[in-house]
Amino acid sequence: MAAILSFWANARPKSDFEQRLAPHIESLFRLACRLTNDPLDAEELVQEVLVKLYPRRDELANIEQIRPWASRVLYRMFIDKWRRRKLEPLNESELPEEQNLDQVDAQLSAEDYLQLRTDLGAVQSALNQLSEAHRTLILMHDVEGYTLVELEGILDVPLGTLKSRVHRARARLKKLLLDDQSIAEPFDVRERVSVK
Amino acid sequence: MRCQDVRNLLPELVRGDLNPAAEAMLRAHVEDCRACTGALAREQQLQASLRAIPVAAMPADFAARALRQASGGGRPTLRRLVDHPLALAASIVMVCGMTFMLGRSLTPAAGMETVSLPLGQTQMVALKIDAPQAFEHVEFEVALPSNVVLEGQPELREFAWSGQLRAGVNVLSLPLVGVDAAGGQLIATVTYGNTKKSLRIPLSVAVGKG
Repeated sequence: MAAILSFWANARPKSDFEQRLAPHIESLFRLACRLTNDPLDAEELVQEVLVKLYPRRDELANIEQIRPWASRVLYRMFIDKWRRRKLEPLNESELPEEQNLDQVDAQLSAEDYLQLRTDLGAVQSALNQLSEAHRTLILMHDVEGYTLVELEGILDVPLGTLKSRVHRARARLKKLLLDDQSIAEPFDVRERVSVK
Repeated sequence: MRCQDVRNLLPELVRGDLNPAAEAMLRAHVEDCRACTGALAREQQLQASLRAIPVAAMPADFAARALRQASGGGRPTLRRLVDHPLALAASIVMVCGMTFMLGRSLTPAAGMETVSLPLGQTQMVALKIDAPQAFEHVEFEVALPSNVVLEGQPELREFAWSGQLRAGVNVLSLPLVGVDAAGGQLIATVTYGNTKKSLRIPLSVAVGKG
């Protein structure tokens, strides 16, 4: 005998909240993955963001650019709450590193450019060696594709400052792709030893 | 334009972030400058590698589950449709539906016969879902076409709920009212974990039969 689907009692209309946010969940999940570096943590973080956003659903109805709006909430939650709970507090030593970049010759010569390693493994390895602030910037802007205007709102950093920081972060990344022997010459250990 | 100035702007050029005038100027320089042509190729490779950095795939049911959990409670629910007086009547249009098996993806729409509804009258449309085994925590979604409404809830175009499928034939019944002679498709989706099946049922509304 056919079973009548009796759970209709629990059926409910898809709310405007769900319909408006649904197309952006995957993007939020990706960002959360980039920030937490763990898919289970990412799920938890996105879930917490959605719980936080639900009471703001009236505001959501008037938001045109939902992805950066929700990403800002996610980023703030990651920094203010999540990161503090899961990791060490933000290390202030990152700031001097950024200041030091002013003294680094951030400009690549044409010859340098041709020496850059650009394969995926080297790029990932170099990215992991960046300070968290620079890595986050590269991940959000160059990897996930947030525009600088979007990042201005998400990170709460003035556009001009953001441009400088992105420039410095990219310069640091390229310097690592040029300088770091473990990145630049991963298959050439024997030859390097013999040269020494 | 100096080569160094051009190289400083290569990331923006690759991303398409420059204004048209600046982009044209840079491209004109790169075309005539062998060193900058090589640098541009490197920058393109670097940006491509950055975009290719892998990230974990989101579980298929996560979005629906997370949204539902975030917005759960305190919202209107549909009444129990099996209590509808037409649910036990003989005038049910039975639509042969889907067989829900794990590991199969979307069901093709082909082969589904058009269901004809009378204009302005309630017609119970029942969809059969055959499950070879019982499934818990199944997500159901229904999206109505513009030519029909759910009886008593004309504003409701999409709705969703969680439940279970029992082993054997399950019947999903909907009291639909034809409101427009235009054709349309009702889309019923059943999701369990990473298995998702959608059924598209063509609906027509017969003007004059009511």
